[in-house]
Amino acid sequence: MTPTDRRHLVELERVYKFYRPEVAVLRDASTQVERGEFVYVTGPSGAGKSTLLRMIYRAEVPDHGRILFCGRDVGKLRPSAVPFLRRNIGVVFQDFATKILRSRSVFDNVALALEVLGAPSRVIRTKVTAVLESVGLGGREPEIAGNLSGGEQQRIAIARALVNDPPLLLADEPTGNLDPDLAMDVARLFDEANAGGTTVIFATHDRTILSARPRRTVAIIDGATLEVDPPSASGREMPVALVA
Amino acid sequence: MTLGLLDRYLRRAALGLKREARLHIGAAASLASAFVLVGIFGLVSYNLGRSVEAWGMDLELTAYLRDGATPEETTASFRFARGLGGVAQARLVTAEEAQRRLASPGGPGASAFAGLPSELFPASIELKLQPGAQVAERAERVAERMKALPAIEDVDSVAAEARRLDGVMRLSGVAGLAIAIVVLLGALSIVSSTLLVTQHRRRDEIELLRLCGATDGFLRVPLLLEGAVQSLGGAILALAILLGVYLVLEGPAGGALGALGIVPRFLPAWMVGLALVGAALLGALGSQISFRRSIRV
Ligand SMILES: Nc1ncnc2c1ncn2[C@@H]1O[C@H](COP(=O)(O)OP(=O)(O)OP(=O)(O)O)[C@@H](O)[C@H]1O
Ligand SMILES: [Mg+2]
Repeated sequence: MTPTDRRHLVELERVYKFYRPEVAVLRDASTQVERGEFVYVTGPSGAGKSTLLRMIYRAEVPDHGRILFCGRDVGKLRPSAVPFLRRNIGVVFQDFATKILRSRSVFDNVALALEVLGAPSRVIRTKVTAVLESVGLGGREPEIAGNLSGGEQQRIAIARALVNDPPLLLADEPTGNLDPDLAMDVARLFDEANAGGTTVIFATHDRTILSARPRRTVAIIDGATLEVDPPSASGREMPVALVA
Repeated sequence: MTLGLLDRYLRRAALGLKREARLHIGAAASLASAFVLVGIFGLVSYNLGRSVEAWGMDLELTAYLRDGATPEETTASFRFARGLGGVAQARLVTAEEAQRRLASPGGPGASAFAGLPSELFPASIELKLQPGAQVAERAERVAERMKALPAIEDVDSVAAEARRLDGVMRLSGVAGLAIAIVVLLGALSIVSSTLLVTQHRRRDEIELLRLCGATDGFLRVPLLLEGAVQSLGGAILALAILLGVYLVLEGPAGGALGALGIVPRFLPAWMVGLALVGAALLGALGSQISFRRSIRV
């Protein structure tokens, strides 16, 4: 492994993914994400953003090509090794609402990410309290998660993804369904995590976010990945610049 | 396994039991009725076995010596009997002793036998068999070997009676085993289907835990504990019912059985312990089956 390789936390090498034969959701998609980077993944609805993220945490497997995490081929992991991959990846799911245990407390919802590691209760209490504080839910621990608003539930999901300090954070449309002010607040949480050293891959088609907080952006167009310039604040069509 | 993880498993199992308390209690009650059935058979065959064993313990064969047997022949026969396999004890009963026994005060026909010459009474060798199973076959074998001796006139054997008892034992053993297998398979399916239901109800949580990096063990161990506790609960309930019924019936039934020389007794501690351990294992096995059939993410 060369030093340059080691910089890459995630690499896609000519990835193909088919849900139906002849129709590739991803076609020859390649990109690299460096440690500490913040990358947007964008593209129209149905482009394959979620699919790409799901393959990184091995909820899907590429049909061709490889996805490397820390240099390891994720698609080749034995089933028993998958949990250990996932412990290194915090995920904010697109369908976050269904990933909230509505009848359980806010605390329980976040704590489970530490429970699976076998962390001692005392550590869990300290870390959950701290992460809830950081997402603006300080003191809400005992409340029933289902009673919180959509935006607050989104914060629970983010807190859960962050609570075990994973090196990689995957966010799938984390600001979808939020009003613009709230969306900005939530986006800021990912900036903060990134400032703390966490690599962030953020899937969104929200132009406002992309232009307000410009970062390296990878677009999925017709199944292929393209490096694109962030859209300008004026709201013109997204200029597409292919970087070979 | 870290202490934190063990603690987590116990907590998750306890939480699972608490959240599905009604389902678990219902299942434990069904299990209890199944276990009671097995328990009744266990209790009956245990007591039957005990009485047969006790009976086998004083199972005696009497080999009568021929009238004209010389003292040498008598001694040789006695030595032979003592050396036979399966014989716990051999005793030589002389003609005088036989007479004395019959004529002893309180003995049958005490006065009638007292005045007769002792030569009229047959000398014999009494053989006590070692206790244990297959008493009938062993008694028969010993009887045949003794009969083959020149000095032996005849052997009084209880083999036929013993064989009948052995047959009863074997039959009840086979029937008991068959019932136990059917009932325990039923119990296994009760445990696995209730735990499949609990997993189905918790599928969102299970999926989420998997996505957060839960290992199979993290999901499986608490489930096995849940199944073990459910089945153990059923077994404890069954034992309580069985003991209750036993205590109620002990008086009236004890009298009737006592007349047959059987003193009924409840299952000994080691059997109860074994039953509880077995029930817990059965519960864990049922959970394991349900886990393998449950959803994957
Ligand atoms: N499990 C699946 N089985 C079949 N088809 C699927 C499956 N998952 C996704 N697809 C299809 O793959 C394509 C890409 O889906 P994906 O969810 O990755 O898109 P997306 O870019 O995340 O869209 P959105 O912005 O709406 O979330 C869609 O056409 C979708 O219908
Ligand atoms: Mg999506």
